[in-house]
Amino acid sequence: MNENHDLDPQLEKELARVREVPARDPNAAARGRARFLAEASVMRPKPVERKRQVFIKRYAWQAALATMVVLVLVFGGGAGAALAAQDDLPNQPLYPVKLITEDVRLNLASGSQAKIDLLLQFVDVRIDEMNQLVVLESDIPVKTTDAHTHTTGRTDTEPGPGRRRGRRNFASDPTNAPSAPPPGKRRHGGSWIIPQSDAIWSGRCIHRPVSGLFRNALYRERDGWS
Amino acid sequence: MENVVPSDPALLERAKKFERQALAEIYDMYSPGLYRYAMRLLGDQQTAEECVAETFSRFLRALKDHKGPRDYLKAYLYRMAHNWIVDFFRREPPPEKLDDEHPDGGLAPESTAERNIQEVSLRVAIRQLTTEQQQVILLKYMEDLDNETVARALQKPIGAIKSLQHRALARLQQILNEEIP
Repeated sequence: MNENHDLDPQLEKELARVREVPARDPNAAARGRARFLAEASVMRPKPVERKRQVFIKRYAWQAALATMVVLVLVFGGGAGAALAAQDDLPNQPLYPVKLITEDVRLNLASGSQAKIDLLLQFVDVRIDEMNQLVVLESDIPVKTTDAHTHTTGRTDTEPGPGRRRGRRNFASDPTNAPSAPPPGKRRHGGSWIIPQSDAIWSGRCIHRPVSGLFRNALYRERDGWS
Repeated sequence: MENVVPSDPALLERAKKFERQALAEIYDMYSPGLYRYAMRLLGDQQTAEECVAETFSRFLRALKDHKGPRDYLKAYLYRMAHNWIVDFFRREPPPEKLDDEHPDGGLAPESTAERNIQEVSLRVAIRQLTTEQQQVILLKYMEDLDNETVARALQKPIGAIKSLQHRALARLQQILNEEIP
């Protein structure tokens, strides 16, 4: 005790006597140890929680990246599908997407003139589609004309040139409905093909409600109007 | 005299992760000394065991709350034990005078009654010191800790510890002289 130089020898002797304490009961010591370790095991963070925390830390950025990829695929894929659908024909799977994009473009167009211009553009697209179907020797699906009706929002009965209002009258009008293929024209299913103008006259179209614009376009093609 | 050394940092780190082996090592390393310390102050085996158990329980709670010792685990544990003893004496004040007919039942039986009485007299005299004086006397003269460890346990400067030690010895001497006819 090099730091006990100021301790009175008598007091030091007294204190030395008290230094000795009764031996610790081994059973009590063992119980205390077991209690301590049991308490520690209760307080110990559960391994599952630790693993979960490690998993979250390790894979959080990967999950974020995966989410971004999914979003890009969903939205980018949708845009890509819309773009790819622009060349589709009515008998192809992405054709409805093409019609939806036309609807969207029409709704976004501001002003009546812009809407009319778009409608005329869509009519040309329909005609191109039908021409392509003819070239491919495919039937023209009914949805083509329906789609145009849907696009224009009209179930038109407006008279075209040289015909009367109403599809029944229109169909029964001999001046409007071709009853026999003209010379130099050939049949394609229920339609007449006019090779000179690559236009098509479909009997099915006659019996379907079509828009005036669409019908006028068909007439123009059939009669060679410029 | 035992030199003050910081606790094994690796052991403490493992204890903070609640590794069973590390906690068992700490208990085996420090609980005997803590028991002796508590026994000298309390004079009762059961209460001393309770003190040791509560000290280690507080240690675990501190680890869980990330408030445990960064180093000097021994000083930290003795401080926890002493705080518990101080609280205990606040709840159950120690006897001012020795009752010869009913010596502390927790004390080990000695060969002679006279020796037993002298020991109990000294324990009672120590209990009459202030808590800090008791702590200095016990840590320094019973546990053989050096001034630096005592200072860390009491969270006081070494100069204050030396001053406390001087006053504690003087007071203890005075009490013992008063008791001896």
